[in-house]
Amino acid sequence: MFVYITVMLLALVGIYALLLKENLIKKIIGLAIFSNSIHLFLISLGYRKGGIAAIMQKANVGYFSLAAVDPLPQAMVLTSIVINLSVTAVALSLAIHTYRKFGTLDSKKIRGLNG
Amino acid sequence: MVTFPLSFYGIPIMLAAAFIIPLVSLKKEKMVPYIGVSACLASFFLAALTFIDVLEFGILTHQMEGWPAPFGITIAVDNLSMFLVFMINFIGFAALAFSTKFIKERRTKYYSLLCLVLVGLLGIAHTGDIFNMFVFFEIMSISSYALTSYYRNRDSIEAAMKYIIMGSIATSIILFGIAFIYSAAGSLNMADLALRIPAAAGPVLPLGLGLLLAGFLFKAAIFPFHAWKPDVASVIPVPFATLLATAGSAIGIYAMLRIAFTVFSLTGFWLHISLIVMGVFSMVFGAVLALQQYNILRLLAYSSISQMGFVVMSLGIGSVNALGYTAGIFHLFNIMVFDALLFLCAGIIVYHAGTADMRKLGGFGSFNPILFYSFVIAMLSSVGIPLFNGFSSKILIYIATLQTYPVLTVISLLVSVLTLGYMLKVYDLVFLGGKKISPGRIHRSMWIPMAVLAAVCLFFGVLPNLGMAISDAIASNLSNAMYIMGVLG
Repeated sequence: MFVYITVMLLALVGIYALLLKENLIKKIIGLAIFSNSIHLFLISLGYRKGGIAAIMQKANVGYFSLAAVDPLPQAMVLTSIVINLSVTAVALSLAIHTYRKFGTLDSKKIRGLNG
Repeated sequence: MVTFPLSFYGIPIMLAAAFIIPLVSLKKEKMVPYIGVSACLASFFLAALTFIDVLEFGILTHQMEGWPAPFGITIAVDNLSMFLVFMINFIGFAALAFSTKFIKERRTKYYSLLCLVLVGLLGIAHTGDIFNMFVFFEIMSISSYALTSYYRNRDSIEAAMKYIIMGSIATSIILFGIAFIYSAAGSLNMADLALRIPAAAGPVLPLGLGLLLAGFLFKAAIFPFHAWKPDVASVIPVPFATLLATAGSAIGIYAMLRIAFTVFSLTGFWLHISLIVMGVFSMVFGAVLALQQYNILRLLAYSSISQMGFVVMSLGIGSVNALGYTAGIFHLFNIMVFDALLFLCAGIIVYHAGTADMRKLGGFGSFNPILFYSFVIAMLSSVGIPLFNGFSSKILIYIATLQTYPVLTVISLLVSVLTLGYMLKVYDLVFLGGKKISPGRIHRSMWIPMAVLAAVCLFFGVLPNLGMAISDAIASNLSNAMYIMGVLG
């Protein structure tokens, strides 16, 4: 239960920063927090108290399915972290370009495209 | 008899092209466009071969490395995904060929990223696993974010920043939805999920479904999520806008159909009514906002939002009246053809005039007959004039709506009139107004894709039967029994 509340709070913090903060860097941080809350949620789905690593051996065949943690969320989170890394990298490089072109990172002042 | 979906090789081919292009450009920069175009041509031929097989057998599947379905990685192409694969390759080929002359600087990066966008699009259509679908969505999205800032001027940087923030929220939401569905049903394979979901009740599944559909409709730029499209389409290189506005939107609709019909086998009231509402709002808002635009690319982006609204509305009608599915899928095909043609015409105009602002354009009527006739064909198609392909599917939409909700027929006809309005505005400002431009030549890498697309427009306008037969085959297969059989064996 505790972990779900944490996930909820982290997601809310991320969405708050994404929607209401005006600084682009803070928006990008919010994005990272939001995706990491999802990663935490995914990891908690596969968690099992006192679970063993999901590697089947001769010794643990008997109790493997009862004791092993779910390996699939871990694989998903690993993939998603890599994706998130590249999104953040592209976003930060765009923020650098924004600062060079507009001289500010305030999203209220960056308004050329309308309609 | 072929049982392996050959079109799958298109993904490694395009991926290889994306990484070979930077290497080759170190030695011979001139070769770069040819690598991209030939890779896409190879992928297109594989897709055409597979299309024939899929139409015969209904579905082709492949389990990577021989692991059986719920455990391994599944490749599954049925009629619907094969249609998308074929169209992505077709329009991707047109866009890549058109770029040969259009793109003059930083060609290596441009071609490499465009090949990656195609990898993402093809992967979404091929995969039989919702998490792989998310990964391919991200491949497509990240390459698109980078390509959006291609020109590195103020507008493109701003649009890219907007696009990356909104697009990342959408893909994060898709991941959230996948996490909810996995927690409730315990599988990621679409066919396996389709079997498990009827047993797994509870409030978590609808939540996951809603999050997934919101993410996919964002990618398709349907009404409440459409804000990014005009900004992005007006600042990116036109060939890429062609791909993004047609195939990029269609893949969002494909993913929505895959999740809603194959995985959740939804035909219920809420999906029906929400698709109709979103479709109608997209149609009307897109058309009304298109009327106000003076940038030709923004206008065409709003026009494609409006046309995609027709598709979503008629797919929504489908659960009451099965004709709606056929009409929606046939219209999706026709949109992809004539919207691509419209964007390519705009590309030639932008290429020769150097601006997309229609107030500064004019006199293109005497520039080149290929441009003129292509534009007229695409314009009449998008309005839905008989003998052009837009009509052959719009008449099906009119019939389907008339049989269920006649008020939607009235709205569709009104939106068609608005379409005529903004298309005549383009025609008037760009082709008639201003001072005459002396006749000029269009490079063959530009006019050949346009001529092919225009020929397809005319072909399906005069002889719609083939298109209707294929759309019927796709629409009758939207339910998931065959898909589950094909994947799980």
